[in-house]
Amino acid sequence: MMRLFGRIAVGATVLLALSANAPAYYYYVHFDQNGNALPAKWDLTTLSNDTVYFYVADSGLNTAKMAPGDGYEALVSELRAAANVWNGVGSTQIRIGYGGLFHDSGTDSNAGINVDFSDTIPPGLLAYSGVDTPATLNPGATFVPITASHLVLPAVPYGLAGSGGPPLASWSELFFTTLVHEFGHNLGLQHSTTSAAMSTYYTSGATKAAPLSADDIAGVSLLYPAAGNFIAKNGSITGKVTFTDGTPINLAGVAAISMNGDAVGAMTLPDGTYRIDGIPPGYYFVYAQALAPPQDGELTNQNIIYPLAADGVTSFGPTCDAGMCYFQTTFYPNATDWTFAAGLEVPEGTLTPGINIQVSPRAAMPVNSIRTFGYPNGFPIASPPLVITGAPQTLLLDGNGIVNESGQVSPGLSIEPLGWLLYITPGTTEVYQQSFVTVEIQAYAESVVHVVQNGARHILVHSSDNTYVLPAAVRGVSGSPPSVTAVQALGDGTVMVTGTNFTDGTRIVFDGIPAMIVNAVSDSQLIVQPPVADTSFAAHVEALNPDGQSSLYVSQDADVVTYTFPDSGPPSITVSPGALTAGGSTTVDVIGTNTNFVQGQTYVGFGTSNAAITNVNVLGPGHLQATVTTAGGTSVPATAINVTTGLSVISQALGDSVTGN
Amino acid sequence: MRCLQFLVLVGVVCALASASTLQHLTLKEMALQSTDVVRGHVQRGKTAWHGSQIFTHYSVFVSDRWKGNGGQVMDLALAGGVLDGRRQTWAGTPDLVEGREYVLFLWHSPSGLNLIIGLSQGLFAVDAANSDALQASTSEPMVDGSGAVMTADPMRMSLGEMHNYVKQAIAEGR
Repeated sequence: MMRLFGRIAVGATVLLALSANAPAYYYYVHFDQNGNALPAKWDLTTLSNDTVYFYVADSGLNTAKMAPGDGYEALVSELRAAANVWNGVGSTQIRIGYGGLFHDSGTDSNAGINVDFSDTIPPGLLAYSGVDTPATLNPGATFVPITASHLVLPAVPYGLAGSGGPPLASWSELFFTTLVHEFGHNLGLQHSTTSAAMSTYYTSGATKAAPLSADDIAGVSLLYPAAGNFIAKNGSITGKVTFTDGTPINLAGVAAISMNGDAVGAMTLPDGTYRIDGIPPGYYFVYAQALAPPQDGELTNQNIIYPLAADGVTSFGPTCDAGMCYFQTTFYPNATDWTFAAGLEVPEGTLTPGINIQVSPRAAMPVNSIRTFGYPNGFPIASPPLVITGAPQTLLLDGNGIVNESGQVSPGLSIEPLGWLLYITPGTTEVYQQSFVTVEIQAYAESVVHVVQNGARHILVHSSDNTYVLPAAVRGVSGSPPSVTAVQALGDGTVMVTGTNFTDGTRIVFDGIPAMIVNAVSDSQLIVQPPVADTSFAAHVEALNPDGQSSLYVSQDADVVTYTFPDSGPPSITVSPGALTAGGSTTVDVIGTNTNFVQGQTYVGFGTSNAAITNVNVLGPGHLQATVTTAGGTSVPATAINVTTGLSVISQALGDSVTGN
Repeated sequence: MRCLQFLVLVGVVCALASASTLQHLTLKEMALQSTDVVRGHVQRGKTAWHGSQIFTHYSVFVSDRWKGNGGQVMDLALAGGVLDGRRQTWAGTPDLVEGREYVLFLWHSPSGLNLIIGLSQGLFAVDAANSDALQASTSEPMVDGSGAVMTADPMRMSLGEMHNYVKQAIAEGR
């Protein structure tokens, strides 16, 4: 360590400007006539309470094809939980609100995020997101406004087409992290290179219990900065990436990576410059790595939508040098061997400029898009492997270029942890099956305490003539995953959840909705107040630990414990008046039967962003009043109302009794 | 290919890829699940709303049909485009080059759109200089008659070989 940090760069640092005009993270970028890079983003000045609402189509989903025990309400609750992940970022101003259900009449598009179930998803495509922006740029604009956004899920749920596998359950790790990822797109984030939630599936290290990394947080915080000055509390780095002949490189991935935590990245602009903001104070290496070539079904490197020129047609892809469009992964300052890289101290509130990197062009990038899989309980999971103690753990890698055509480990391939906390057991690199390689990874005894203090750990995959950096390939944890083995009603509305490895920060979720911890009896028993649900509803109960592990590491999706809510009779509601006042405000009185409205937990919608809910006042479990402002010229029947509390969704479209007075 | 093989081990772990969330299809799966497999030149047409989505339509002038019963000109819809002053951007949607020849694995949606299967997985450009060569939609190196590589997921198949493979897959799938 002395060797490295004895060479810590002490380059000039300057106080940061308080604004972040450069697109540090990578957004949907449009260049204006003057060459300014404008990100696409929601215009907060047009949003109520800085909130962009998402609306879920009340039809189109073929629930009969969902996983056994799965259903529409469970999917809606997981959508709400995934959106709420972004609301947990305190350093961003934007919020995602749940706008309720909308009836997809075929032509409407809410001024928010529209979640559709569509038959326009062909086999092989499981979900996608899109953003609407004006066709032309406004002169002098500093950003391109997103006017609506779309998250499209297949009418026939995942897993049926092509793979032959079962439908992906809405409570699964992968479905949840995918929803988080898609909501990120809906906010204006593109793919990152740091194995974050916003990375593509091929390298993502996100988990249901800890979906966001520092890179994701930086991305949304810089696009919609909140008061409190995110930039001033973190550090920044700027520089330029060029080929060795001086040619600037567009769309080079650059990341600041810490041995003890997350990486934070950016991509270069056409002039080769980059700026990384939002780097938590600490010591970092900085490296430039080519964007991975397109994978199955992808069209562009890293599946990025390239920046668009002012003509609205021309786009700028990665720079090539004499037909060579990739380059040697290189650490600052111009070291292909990380042990010769210079460590940078990144203090808070300072900008470290001049971190320039020269790279050698390459015709190809044979080793790329590596993803690691955990193997915590004898079966592979999509989350990164865990390193708990000095005992070896299996690290399972999938990716391009690690196995040759003969089914052998590619010649020259070796895997090395970044830093000195972990090591690969010598002689353990072997082909697992087809394109998969396993190695044993473990912590040095003296470094175990450092390993378990933080989450993400990184590896380098060396080929014969290049190195591929994979951030967040391994997760350091202090104990085994939690499990949920039984859920039992206690008769007073609370529930005893029995399992293992519960900690102070354990969250118990019922189909994604958190239960309130009433009493932490022990590390194996928690008494919780479950969320509200309709009669006889069966919810899937999971434990999520703050170290990123969940009970899904132990129970496969189909084996997740369920809790069936008591039989209380079907819910119904009566609303008055029978119609909303067009162009004005209406107070709607809602009387419920077999309902459990809860102040702060009950959401009301009318199926369209034209009816904005300004207040919900719960007067009792069966009585609420909602204040609704309706756009002029808009006719909305009050029976279009949908009321969501916890896991309960009451809507005429779902077959519930909703009558108007 | 790697995802499919891994399914044996991990169930649906590989069924998802994010962004546009993709599920990898093998060539055989594409052949079986497509409603039409055609070779033809494309010509850009109108953009139109389909629900809240904008689709850009292309006419495919079919020169060879490997599967399906459509006519000599087929309509093809790709998500995204510019319409009514609005630009709609969908990650991963291919951009077809007008006048270029492609092999297309198409899927007829229940609501009547002809879509490329797997977003862009079912799209292969025919090399104008060598009609027996295909190019992956991913704009990566050519796949030629001698079996040159297609990038990250090598297919090693010429146009003629692909045709034969598709015919065989369809026959076996019946």
